[in-house]
Amino acid sequence: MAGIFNVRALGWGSVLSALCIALSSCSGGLFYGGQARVGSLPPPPLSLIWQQRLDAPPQGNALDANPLLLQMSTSAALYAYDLWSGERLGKRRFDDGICGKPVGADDLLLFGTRGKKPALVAWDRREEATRWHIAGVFCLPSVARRDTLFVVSERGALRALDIKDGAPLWERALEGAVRVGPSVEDERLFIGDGAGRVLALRVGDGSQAWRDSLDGAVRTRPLVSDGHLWVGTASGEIASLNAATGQVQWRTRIGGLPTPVLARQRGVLAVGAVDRMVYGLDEDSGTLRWTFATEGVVRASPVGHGGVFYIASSDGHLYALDARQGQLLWKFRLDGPVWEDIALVGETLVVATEKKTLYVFGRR
Amino acid sequence: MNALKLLCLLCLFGSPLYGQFTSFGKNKVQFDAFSWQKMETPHFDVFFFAQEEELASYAAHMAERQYRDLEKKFAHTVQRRVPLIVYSSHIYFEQTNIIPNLLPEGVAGFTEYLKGRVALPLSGSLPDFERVLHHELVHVFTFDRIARVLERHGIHDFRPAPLWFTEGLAEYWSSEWSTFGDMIIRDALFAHRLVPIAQMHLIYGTFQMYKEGESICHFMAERHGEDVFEQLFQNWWRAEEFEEVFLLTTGETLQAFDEAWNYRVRKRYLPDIAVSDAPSQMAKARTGVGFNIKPTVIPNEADSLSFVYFTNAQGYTQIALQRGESDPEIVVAGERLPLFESLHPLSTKIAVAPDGGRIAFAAKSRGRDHLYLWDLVEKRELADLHFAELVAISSPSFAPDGRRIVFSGARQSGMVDLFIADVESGHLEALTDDIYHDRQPTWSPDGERIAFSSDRFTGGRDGRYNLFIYEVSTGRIRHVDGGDHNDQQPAFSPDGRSIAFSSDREGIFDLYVADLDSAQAATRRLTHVLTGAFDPVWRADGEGLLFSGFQGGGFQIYEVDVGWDDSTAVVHYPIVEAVAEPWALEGRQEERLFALRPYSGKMTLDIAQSQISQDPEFGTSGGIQLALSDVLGNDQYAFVLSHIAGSQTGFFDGLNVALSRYHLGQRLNWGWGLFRLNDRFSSTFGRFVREKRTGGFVGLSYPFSRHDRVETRLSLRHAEIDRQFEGRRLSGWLANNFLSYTHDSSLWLPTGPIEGKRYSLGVGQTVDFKSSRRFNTTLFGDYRHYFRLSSRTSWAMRYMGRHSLGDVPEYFSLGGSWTLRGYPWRSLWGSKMVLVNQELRFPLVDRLIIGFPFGSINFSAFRGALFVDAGNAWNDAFDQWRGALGAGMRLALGGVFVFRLDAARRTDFTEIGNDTHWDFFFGWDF
Repeated sequence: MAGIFNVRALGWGSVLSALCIALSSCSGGLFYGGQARVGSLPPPPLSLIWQQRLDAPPQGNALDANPLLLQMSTSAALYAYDLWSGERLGKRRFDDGICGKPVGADDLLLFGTRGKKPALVAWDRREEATRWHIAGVFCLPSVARRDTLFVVSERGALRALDIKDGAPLWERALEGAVRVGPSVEDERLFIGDGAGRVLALRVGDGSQAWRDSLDGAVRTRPLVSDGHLWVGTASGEIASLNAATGQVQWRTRIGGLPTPVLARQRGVLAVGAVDRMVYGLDEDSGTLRWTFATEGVVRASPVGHGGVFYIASSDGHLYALDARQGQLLWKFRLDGPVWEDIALVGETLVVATEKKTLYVFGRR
Repeated sequence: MNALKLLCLLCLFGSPLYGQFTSFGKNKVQFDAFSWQKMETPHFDVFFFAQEEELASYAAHMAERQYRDLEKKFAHTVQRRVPLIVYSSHIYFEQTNIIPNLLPEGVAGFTEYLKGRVALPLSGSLPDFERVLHHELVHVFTFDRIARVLERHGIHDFRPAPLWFTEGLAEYWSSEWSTFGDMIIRDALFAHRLVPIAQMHLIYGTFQMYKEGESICHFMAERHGEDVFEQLFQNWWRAEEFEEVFLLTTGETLQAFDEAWNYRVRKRYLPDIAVSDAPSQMAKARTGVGFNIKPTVIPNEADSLSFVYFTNAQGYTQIALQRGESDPEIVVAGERLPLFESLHPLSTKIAVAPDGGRIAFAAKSRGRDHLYLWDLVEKRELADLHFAELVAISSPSFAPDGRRIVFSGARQSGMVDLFIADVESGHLEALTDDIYHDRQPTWSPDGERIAFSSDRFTGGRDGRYNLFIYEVSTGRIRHVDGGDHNDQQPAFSPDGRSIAFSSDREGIFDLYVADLDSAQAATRRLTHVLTGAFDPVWRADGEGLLFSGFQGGGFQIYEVDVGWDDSTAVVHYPIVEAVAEPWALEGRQEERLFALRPYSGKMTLDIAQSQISQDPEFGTSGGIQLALSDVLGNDQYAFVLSHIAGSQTGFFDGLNVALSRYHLGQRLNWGWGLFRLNDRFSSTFGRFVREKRTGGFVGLSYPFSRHDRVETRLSLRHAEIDRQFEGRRLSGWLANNFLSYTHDSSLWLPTGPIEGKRYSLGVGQTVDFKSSRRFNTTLFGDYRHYFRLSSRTSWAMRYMGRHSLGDVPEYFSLGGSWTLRGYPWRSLWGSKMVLVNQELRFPLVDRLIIGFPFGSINFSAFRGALFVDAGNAWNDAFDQWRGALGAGMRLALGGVFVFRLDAARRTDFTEIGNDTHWDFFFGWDF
């Protein structure tokens, strides 16, 4: 089913959803449409608005398709839920397994597939069909900027594609393997590689603007804002670089492999690590402001909102910390460990556990 | 294999008539009765017995610390509690029932995957215990990480990592690269034995594989970043083969990486040859065949150099005596008798009395180490010293008076200290009593001092050893040479002024001599060995040394003269008072933080199997087998439920149910079972028997030692027997009992035994319980002897006889590859049977590689045989011997199967037939 979807017409979705549930083999539903609702996440304590079961652990974090929430599972099933009611509106299983974290760009869902013919697939949510695909192994998250999509393979083949049809715009072979996706800000594309090199490229042609090196493989997606670039390495080094020149401004060591995405809030940079800790660093100086100890490895990236960092750990808890002080404001016991990133979707906070449960928090 | 378990399995699943014949196999003897307890930490259940509570606290503390470390390395949390079973001695550890296998002394610990149990003993060194624990926990995390990643992506077939990788990673993440690692890799390189990754199966499970794997993991981290392992595990689900996962993760083929590693190894080690030599190039080899180690010189033999040492030239570890240039003479035969079950060749040495006529050595016997005094000339035992408070003994050394012996002893707590024993009175005196690993004591010629190696200094916390001197008159301990390195195996010079020892202070285990004349130890390096030099002992003239040298993957004994040139640097170390408590045992303070609970013996699933099969005659057969056991494996339940849905039988008739319980936690193993079985059995003589039987059994097995046991079983069953081949139907309550004695001291190659002997004698009887009518009485005997002719050639002989008397005798069959070759399988049968086999076993091809377009298949241990068989089976009167002679080949397949092919011609011992008969068989040699 395709076409216009209005949040007020949820009844149709309910019917379809009910049918899908009744016919367990049914595949399809609603993945696009509706009128976005504007709001923001309330301060903690949050309420659990709804929770749903997935057929397999999550693959990547929840995607914001306001008023829908999309979540992919490791079984290559894409779920669509009504963000506020939790009603399942669609489920679609893709034939090939999914590789890496899916990314949304307008009405496209971009993900890598595996199997004998691996590819990067641009799946049109509106048409429920593949709009284009390019062959190759693409397991790292891509990033879109207006009409351009930037994708990189683990072996370091960086490409700029026309987001409409996947036509190549330019291509650049990086010097080494890559373990995280790129970021884009203004006219610059930023990427780090497995040898610790951080590059800033011009989005127009992929030419190099600057390059610098850090200690260890780059393992966090570059976070760029206000002229700064923050990045973390496998050795547990968090560095701040001048986004315009690449000059390193500070380096701070944390206790191990960082979470793949850094969060920023009220002048504090938050990063989780495999040593069970969450670190709050002063974004200007790199000084350690605070640490927060969980009871398990922190692999899911934190998110910041309203002066609060939200963190999930493999100890099966969701934590809300005061961004400035690192004080625990609220915590919620989940049903299992969390490996995939937390997401802010509309005015909700979404977290999925390895026990296949999708939790949505917000204002009830 | 545990004897009782095998017995019960035979009883349950084999023919009812065959159950009473025992199988061979060595015994895992429960010499000690342990009172187990449990200590609960956040992530571990630590199981321990009362004497080792301090060790358990330490283990608990270390395990939690290492858990945190591995969480970081794997970026993973193990979401289950890990059972950790600690043993304060390897001797206790060998009694574990967690796995059925016999545990050799080289096994420092293991991780069992079904229940995720980790078991390990204390070898005396607490830092080494910590390293082994860390190693095993890497396995726990590796297994769990892979399992969770596969499960996450819906992949239900486990994809194990190659062994070289799992062991290499466990080594890499549990310890620093060591001098031993250098030694193994350098030696393999120069001996052209370095194995590439693609051929790692050639050294499967060896120490070289561990060290090559560790070296490869080091290089992997260096080349692709320390997080490459975390990435590999993250990508484990993306491909079926490790090579593909590696390529996906690193962008490099494993072959290209392997070549780069090999280049790196050559670049690292090849220059060493410019400044050092292999032992065979710089010293005179005094031994040459087998594995020879730990020499001790015999004093008072001025004319020639005589020494005793450990050798395995004939397979078993033995003590040999070398007098001058004559052939070595075996003076103590070890590992064949319960008396000398193990001589611990890697961890102890032999002491020679000042009179030169007696030696003292430690040997495992009847569940603990004994100190034996042995007459060298008459080759007989003079004294057997054992001490209730000591479990293990090593490195004895005589006092100059010849009456006292100092040695290293392991207490029941696992702590290893120095002791002096009076040979005549047996009185034991402890010289030290602390947590430090005091080892390799040696008495000075004047009797005033005892030099020893110990970790009783700050570097000892990191597993380093230095030399110390114990003053006998005062009890003072002095530290001879401080340093962050390993000094070991001290030996006083005949004049008592110097100590020779082995040390890795300059990166290789070389020989050093320290002059103790002043307040400083003036130390000089004596050798520049390419690989490693150990166990120095002085010649009687004080001008030369014997030592164990590592080369070509093994040890030989070498002789080198002590000579200094002006360029030999002298390094002075002050001799100072040893620090009383240089480091403490962590975990003591946590002892009370962790909850202690009595051992519950809770049963959990051990093995579960189900199967279904279709047979054209018997119909569909389906069944499940379940086994439950406690954490320690001491109590086990087995449950079998199956169904034979034949066309002639109803549902209940085809139902087979059996339940049995085995208790293996004590020396006397016992078991019982109940069964209701209805099946058609192919009897041992190839005819079918149908029997419906309902009943129960009790069984006992008592091992006298690792080699000998007595077994008995009593069963009572209601049987409805249809002996279709005789046209007889029998029904009634049958009582069956048997008694047997079994010995097994055989030594094996991959295809079968090569040395030692095995025999079993027994008697069994079956009677009708109601009428007391005797069905049969059966006698059986089986004697096998293997004479080793060379390292890999042997002469094997077997004499077997069986005789069944009574109204319903048992029948025995002959014919086929495993009994009488040249005759069809089970073609001869009767109630009496005799068989004689004589077989020459020899190597043919060490390695056979067959290439195919898709790759190659490697076979190892391709061996040949020449044989003569004779035997017959009969009922009334023996008519004639039937015989065969021929040749065969055996091929070991993956260490699990042996493919046998025999070509035989029959003979009646007057003529030889012209027809060649071929026999195929999968199974080991007799």
